[in-house]
Amino acid sequence: MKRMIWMTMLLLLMPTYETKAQEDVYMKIQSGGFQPIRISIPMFSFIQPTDLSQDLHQIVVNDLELSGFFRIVSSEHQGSANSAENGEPGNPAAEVELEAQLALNSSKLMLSAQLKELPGQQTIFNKEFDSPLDKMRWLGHRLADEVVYYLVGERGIASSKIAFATGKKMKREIAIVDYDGHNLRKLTDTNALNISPTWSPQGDYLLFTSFISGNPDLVKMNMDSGKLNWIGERKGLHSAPAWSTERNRIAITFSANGNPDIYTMDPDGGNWLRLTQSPAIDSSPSWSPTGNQIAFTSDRSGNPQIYIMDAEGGNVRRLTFQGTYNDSPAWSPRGDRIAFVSREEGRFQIYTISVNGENLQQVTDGTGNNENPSWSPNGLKLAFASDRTGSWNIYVINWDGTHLRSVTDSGENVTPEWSPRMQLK
Amino acid sequence: MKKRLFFAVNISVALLLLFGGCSKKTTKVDEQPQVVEETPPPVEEKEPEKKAPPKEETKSGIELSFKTVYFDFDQYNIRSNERDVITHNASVLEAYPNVKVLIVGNCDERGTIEYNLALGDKRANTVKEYLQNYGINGNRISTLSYGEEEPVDPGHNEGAWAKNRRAEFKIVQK
Repeated sequence: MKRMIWMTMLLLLMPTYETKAQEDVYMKIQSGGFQPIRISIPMFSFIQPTDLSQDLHQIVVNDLELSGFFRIVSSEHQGSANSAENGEPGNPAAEVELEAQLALNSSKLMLSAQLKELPGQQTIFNKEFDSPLDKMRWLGHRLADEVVYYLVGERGIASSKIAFATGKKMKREIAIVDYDGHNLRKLTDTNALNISPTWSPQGDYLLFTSFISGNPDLVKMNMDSGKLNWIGERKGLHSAPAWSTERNRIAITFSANGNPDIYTMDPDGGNWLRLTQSPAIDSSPSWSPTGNQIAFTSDRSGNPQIYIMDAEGGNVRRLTFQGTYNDSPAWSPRGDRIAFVSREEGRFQIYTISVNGENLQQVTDGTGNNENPSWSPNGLKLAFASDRTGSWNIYVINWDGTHLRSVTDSGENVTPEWSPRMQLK
Repeated sequence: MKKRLFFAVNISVALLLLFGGCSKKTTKVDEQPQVVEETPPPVEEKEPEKKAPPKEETKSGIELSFKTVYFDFDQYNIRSNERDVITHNASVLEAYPNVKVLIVGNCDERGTIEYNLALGDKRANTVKEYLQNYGINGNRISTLSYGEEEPVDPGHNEGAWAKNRRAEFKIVQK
């Protein structure tokens, strides 16, 4: 069965810019006349009378809609119309069709799915998936990601999660939620301040700043056992951790003797290396996807701006020059852009800028305050916290500022961090 | 592992002290040795601890009470009108040589949670350095930052923000 790639990633219009000198670019989003793939998804069948297949169908439809790659069209129109042109104007014919059958076999969900090209019914894939009964959402995400992979050429993000801190000031707990807003659960119950969770490269650990001991320590949580390990517990501020996939090092803001600087360390807390020496504030490190560079915030110029340095601390150069408050850099997993927060007319907005300092683009439209951007694992969306409704919640937006949606809608939720693509646990 | 970690950081600190050359730090570094020499606190003024339940006063009549230091938005330098406040707090610490304090740095709600933690840390430590330069032993002063997490005024206006950008003194040992 041949793997079919319909297009090589043209999701969002993006001006091309010169990045050939940038070694950190390994996949470049390109501009082009992107048209969503028209897909029909008839109701899944189920061998027992239950609404599980309906629920699963809804999960998959939602995932494919959220991916941005598809237009879901009615399955009734695919049979007769032999090309896109023949579809009705408001309801054009599907180009591909996804069918699936669900069965329950001793508390295991068995899913058989077929993706076909229309017309002609040529098979694109015919696959089987299974999961425990209580992991149906994951099963749907798995199928959706497979459809994305076969039609778009890169893995989807439907299985990803977002970690964040939830709760009022001084009493925030670490929580996670599926990228689509489902399965929200608290991971800690400490009655203390916990913030800034960040994921290990495989998603099996979360690092965060915790005041459990009274001191802002760096804590590592095992996602299987829930066990906490203190890996930075010296007196002083440990904040804004970031874990490099490629280098397997943790970067962090640590304040020894009252001067916040960037350090890196091994994932077990050993081998600390100090990267910045300036008497100013240096904070909020974010790794390039290759692990060769780190973006960070420094107020060495008199106010906070974004800088980039090599992973050992050399070759520091300033990235942002616009405005007097730029912070919270987040290096795109595609390598080519850095998202950050900028203060504008008294409020905080999300921007992106290319790593050579050009092509500044505003992401959030000026509503409320918007902070802590974090990229989706495919580098096409950003999670962030916003107080636009009067309380802080987590939102997701396409990097070009379209398709805003809320992920949490109650309580106070801050410092989101998008996970890597996850395996079923 | 812990030892190594301490070692590494100590080295870094030592390097900073050695090579902090052209930065503002130099002046502070120069003053540090004097501070260390003052380490043994005078013994004669132990009394206030025992007596005076309502108001603790030394012979000199200084009350054991600290004032809060306020800052400008996104700044950690000491405003000229706040110098008297720190000087007052320094004289209280002088009068009560057994007292140890925790200075907690805070910020207003604007700006990111993470940067404000760093900013609060810097504010607390700037005040600490000021006290050390005055002659107070650094061993008596610890610091902490709550960033924007602990506002005294929950308002969303300049009046509230001005009150929240502060370094607060908390007595941890009398």
